[in-house]
Amino acid sequence: MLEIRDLHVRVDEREVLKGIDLTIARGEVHAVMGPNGSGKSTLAYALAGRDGYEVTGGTVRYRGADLLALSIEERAREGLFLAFQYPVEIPGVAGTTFLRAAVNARRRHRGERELDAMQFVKFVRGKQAELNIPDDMLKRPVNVGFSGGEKKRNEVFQMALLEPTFAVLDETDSGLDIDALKMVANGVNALREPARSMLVITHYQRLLDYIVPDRVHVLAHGRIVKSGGRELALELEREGYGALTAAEAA
Amino acid sequence: MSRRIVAEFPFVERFDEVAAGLPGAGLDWLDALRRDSLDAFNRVALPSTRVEAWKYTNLKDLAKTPFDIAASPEGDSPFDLDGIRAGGPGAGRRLVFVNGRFDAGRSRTGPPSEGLAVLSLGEALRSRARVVRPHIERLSSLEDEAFLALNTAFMMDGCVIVAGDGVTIDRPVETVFVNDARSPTSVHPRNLVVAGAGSRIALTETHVGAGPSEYWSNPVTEIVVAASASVVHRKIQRESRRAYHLANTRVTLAERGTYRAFLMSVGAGLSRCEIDATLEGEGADCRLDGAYLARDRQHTDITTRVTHAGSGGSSRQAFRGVLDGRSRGVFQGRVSVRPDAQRTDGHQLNKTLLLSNDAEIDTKPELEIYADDVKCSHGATAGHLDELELLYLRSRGLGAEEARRVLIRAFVAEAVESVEDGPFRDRLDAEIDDWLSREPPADAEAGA
Ligand SMILES: Nc1ncnc2c1ncn2[C@@H]1O[C@H](COP(=O)(O)OP(=O)(O)OP(=O)(O)O)[C@@H](O)[C@H]1O
Ligand SMILES: [Mg+2]
Repeated sequence: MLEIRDLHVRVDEREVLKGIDLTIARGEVHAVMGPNGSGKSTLAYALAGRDGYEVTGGTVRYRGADLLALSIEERAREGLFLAFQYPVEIPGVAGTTFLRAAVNARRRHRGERELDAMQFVKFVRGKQAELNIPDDMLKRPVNVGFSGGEKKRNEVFQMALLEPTFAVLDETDSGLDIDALKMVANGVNALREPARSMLVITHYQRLLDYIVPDRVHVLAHGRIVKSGGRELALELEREGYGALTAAEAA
Repeated sequence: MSRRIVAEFPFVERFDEVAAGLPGAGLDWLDALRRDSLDAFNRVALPSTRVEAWKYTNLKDLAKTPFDIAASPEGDSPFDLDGIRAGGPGAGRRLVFVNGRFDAGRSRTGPPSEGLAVLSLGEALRSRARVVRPHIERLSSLEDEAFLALNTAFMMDGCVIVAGDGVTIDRPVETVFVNDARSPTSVHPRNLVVAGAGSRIALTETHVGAGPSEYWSNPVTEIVVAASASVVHRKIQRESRRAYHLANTRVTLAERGTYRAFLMSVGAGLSRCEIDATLEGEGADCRLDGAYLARDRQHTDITTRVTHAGSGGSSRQAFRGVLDGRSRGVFQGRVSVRPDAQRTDGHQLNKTLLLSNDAEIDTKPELEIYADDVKCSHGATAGHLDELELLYLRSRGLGAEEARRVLIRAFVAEAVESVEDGPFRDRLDAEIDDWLSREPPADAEAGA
């Protein structure tokens, strides 16, 4: 599904990713953990295609094609989804307007008929209930004035609407209370299926109790320094990154 | 460089000949007033950028253009009003002026109604000179201001609304100014709105250009708001790109009078809309909002002066602009609070979105406060589209252009939100959509 080879990314004249190798097969869920500033979000943004995240080396193949050759929106239309660590507030753009534009962009790309306002309301109804997204939240401007937890729920809601093939969740569990965490995890799990893969970035092993990953990777100083099964997350929780990153720095 | 630009406009030199064909010609008081105003104009001349209030708006190209005034109507203009999106829906009163002349055929002045007169200035000078004369004379004597003086000297037709005490107009009066210039011409429309005590009036002004030539529109609108009266005044300036649009609106408010204005400025090569409002009575309320959209080498200037003379008044101003290409925006907002105007509330905000690195905005807020119990503020921001907002939209599949348009639209929408009248808001939305979808025209522009 996604194959990252020796990926180097520079941000603001600084090399942040220094050779990432990561292969995620169809249907798999991988977790990425690592200290603050290690480059996790940089990896997520580079996959999404953010301007200023300059790929200086390496390749990324997505469903057999060169992901890096695509624009941000082409990647999205091809089924790549990024749940932002810090979802962006967009004053003046109503949630429904935004979501409908997004859903229709994807539908157009697939050669499907676009949804009008009425059809769209029907389409979202079911998913709204699952993620406890009240109507009022959709009428308001995108993310404006939302609490931290509401923003994260809104990310997963968008993911549910867009039905991506590959989803990157960047700390979608941060700042959630216990109930919201369960809701988000259920939302994510409901989307798990053989044709869909995910990369879940998190600081907390707790999330991985709900979303059980196939593999866990540790990112430090712009490199993957260790990979393992889900027991690696428990080990990190016990011992911290100290030993790993010290070994790397040495 | 001098503070004055001396221009030799053919129409000014031909004053006697031209004036003989203007509305009210033959009325002694008006003939004298026109002549005095001409003298005033010749004395003050056009302001150069050395004059503080004109620092950012340069009239040298206007001064070089040989503007004239056509001696007689050029015959029927072929345009169709719906085609140029000049009118709103519905069957309210509508006054259409073509090249400064009242076009009765395209107008609907509506049935006569108790305590309300809606008519052209030419007609008002014939049938109601007693009502209009004091206003026209008073405004003209106020100051030596070039454009006001020139307008008075060459005053052409315009819309007159006189509402008696307590009269309410349920539908806005629409005024449409079409400029269909075949050669460099100037027009000087003059409007007058007198809202009697407790009356409620709404009017809409649309300025559009249809012809191939450069032209100069110099409208003056005087609005008198009596005690507890309310006037809603909306304007769309969509002159042709070859136009100079230099407009003056003068408003006075008596106690508890309210004035709400919305200005959308999208047209003209060079435009300046001045709004001057004086809150004379106690507890008057003035709100000026607007949006300006410009691209290529357009120059758009909004200059407001709000004077609080009575106590307990409030004024709010919020203008938003979007500038693309090499366009330039100017927002000058002055709020003056006179010594007696205690408990004044005056706020002003100007936000500009710059879509290119060559676009420029000059914002100059001025607060002059001579009373002590006053709450006044002003704020201004200018910025580019937010990279993260664009990323967020595009990461959800919206194309780069669509994402840009969504964000620009959202930015302008916040200015338009204050407009309560649905049909007019629809017109504003249509203007914005049109602007967003339009390719830059290839024709030359005034002021370029
Ligand atoms: N726009 C930028 N300009 C300069 N440096 C940047 C920029 N974006 C990221 N960096 C730097 O890149 C490094 C990696 O940042 P990144 O956001 O990827 O870390 P992270 O692993 O996601 O951290 P966290 O756990 O705190 O979210 C940091 O040192 C950060 O300061
Ligand atoms: Mg991060």
